[in-house]
Amino acid sequence: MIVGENARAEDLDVNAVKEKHLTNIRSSTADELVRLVPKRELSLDQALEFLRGDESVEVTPAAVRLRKTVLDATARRKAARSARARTPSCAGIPAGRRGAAAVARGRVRVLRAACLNRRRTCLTGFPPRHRTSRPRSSTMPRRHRSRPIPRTLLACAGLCALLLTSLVSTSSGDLRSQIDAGRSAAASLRGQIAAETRQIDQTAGGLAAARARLGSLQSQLDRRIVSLRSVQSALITARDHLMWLEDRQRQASRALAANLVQSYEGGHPDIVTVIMQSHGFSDLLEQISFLSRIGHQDAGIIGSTRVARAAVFAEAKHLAVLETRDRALTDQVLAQRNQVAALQGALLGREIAQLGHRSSTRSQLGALGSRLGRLEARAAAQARAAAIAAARMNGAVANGIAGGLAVDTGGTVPPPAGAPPVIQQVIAAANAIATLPYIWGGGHGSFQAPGYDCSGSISYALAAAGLLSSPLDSTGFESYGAPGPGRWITIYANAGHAWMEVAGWRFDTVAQAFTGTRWAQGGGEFSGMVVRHPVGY
Amino acid sequence: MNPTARPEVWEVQGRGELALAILVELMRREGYELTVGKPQVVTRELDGRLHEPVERLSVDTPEDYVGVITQLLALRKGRMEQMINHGTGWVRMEYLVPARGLIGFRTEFLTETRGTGLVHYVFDRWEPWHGEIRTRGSGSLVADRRGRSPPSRCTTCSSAGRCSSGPGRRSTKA
Repeated sequence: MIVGENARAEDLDVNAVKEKHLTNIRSSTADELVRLVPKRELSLDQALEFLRGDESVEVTPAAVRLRKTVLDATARRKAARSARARTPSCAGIPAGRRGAAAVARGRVRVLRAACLNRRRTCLTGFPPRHRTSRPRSSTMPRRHRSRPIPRTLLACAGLCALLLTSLVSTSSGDLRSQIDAGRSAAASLRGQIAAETRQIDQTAGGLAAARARLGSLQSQLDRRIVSLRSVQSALITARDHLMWLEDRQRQASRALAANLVQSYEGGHPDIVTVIMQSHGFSDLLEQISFLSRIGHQDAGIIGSTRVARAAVFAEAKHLAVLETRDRALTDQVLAQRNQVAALQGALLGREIAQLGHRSSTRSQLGALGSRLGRLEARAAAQARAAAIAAARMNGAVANGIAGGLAVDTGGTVPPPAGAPPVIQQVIAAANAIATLPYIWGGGHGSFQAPGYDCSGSISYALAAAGLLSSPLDSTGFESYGAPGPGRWITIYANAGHAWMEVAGWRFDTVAQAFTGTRWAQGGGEFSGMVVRHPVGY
Repeated sequence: MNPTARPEVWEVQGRGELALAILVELMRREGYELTVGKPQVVTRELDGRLHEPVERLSVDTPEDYVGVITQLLALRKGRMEQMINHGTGWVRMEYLVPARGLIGFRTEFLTETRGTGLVHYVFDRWEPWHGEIRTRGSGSLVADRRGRSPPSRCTTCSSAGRCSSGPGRRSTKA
């Protein structure tokens, strides 16, 4: 940890924790006056600016600390010395890669992701083990980790790597064992894919069940919501009615009060005035009964309003209870639905992961298959080469000393049936110069020459088929094309000589000395020759 | 964000040290613990040579601080392009400075001009690597063991340099 800035240019290791022992006080006055310079607390920005190349900032929620990247002082000195020796000027700066308008970059090293807040999503780009650990909620289904798959993938990868490395060795026994191993690996991969498919089917079944459950819950929820709405609307109308009734009662009582006041003030007829003002007894009776009817009616109106109000109040109360019950039920169903939806989401995630696994396994199987195909082709080529070698042995025995009896009288060779056009072109071109004289350096200045030397002849034949663009000498043929024998053409070259074999025929200027044509069957110099072939043939 | 050779280390590229500081502060507030190395500029290979970005920097400052600023920028391999004295007590200067040298420049600039100076910079061009830039002339005081630092040691340490850690702070080696 860096505790401060040194006044000099170099770093200084200090012991910042050394205690002064209590018995270390020699004089009671010596320590009295101490001036402590206040510390300079560095903010994050300042800390970043303060840094030198071999230092870094440790950022934790509690503190921002500066530290040397290499903590051990000895190791640090050693590293600094080796860095100085290694780089002249631009130490530690890798050659620019991203040249965008980006101006600065820094290195961020995540040491330990401490979890402080509980529910928080992570910054993307950090591997899962650095994510803040999140408490599993009980509603979420526990995601089961498909551990065995990565392990088998690893095993397969190892197998493939093995196959790859073993491709270098070429003996046929090895090839066969490799092919067998590849086949068994492919079979195991196939079995794995089948197992994964089964697993995916299971997940899909679970998903369908979850979906059905979700649908039924949703419809239940819809029904609940509808009933809740109707209860709510009924409640609203009841409350409206109650308000109206209360209003009416208020009006009626107000009217009654007004009547009473008026009757006292004498505006309206009372019994005394009725008696005084009535014309005759019948009129009197009628007026009295009218008065009492008015009184009855008023009382009746108030009474009925009161009763209705009480009834509506009771109704509203009942409806409110109903509403709370319905609301609780709806919430319950909603919670259930959310739970099932979460379950479905988890299942979907799992299915996606499984599908990804399966596709990766499939691609591996494909790669393995193509590799197997290549191996098998190689085995077939080896078998053919072995057959050709056997035939050549027989031919050499049959032809004996005459060597090249199969060549026709013109010194040319017929192209074999089934040879690709390039091979036919090579043979045709080789036929054209087969009997031309051997001239040292012939065919190297230009492809057209009165005679050709060993590598010149080969160059001419290969160039005619487009396998070569300019003449090569025998040293050049040592690195021509691809190493090893070819399927149709094999070139044997060293610093002094080069010859080639086309479809089992030997095309060699050495043969010309005996037979007059460059074509021959069998023989040829093998020791100390580099074996090459044109790519693809 | 680029992965590096080590699994727990990433290279983060951003627009300037401010962006990086903001990212680091955000991560810190989210509860991460991390270690950040020295910010470096993004370089480019042009015609087989290493090039670095160069910023065009314009400074408005009271006359009194011209010398200080010239000194600051000379240390950071800045080239003065133009200097206009308005005659009002303020001077405007234009510099070309490697972006590398501007890391941490603003704070130092504000300190030196007592908060009066104005500085702005914008990317100008790529130029061949200017060589090593040493902005901090001083070394570090490095605690070589862990423990709690007593006040008595703070007096000793501050005699050697300036402390950014005080008494009672726990010093860590690891």
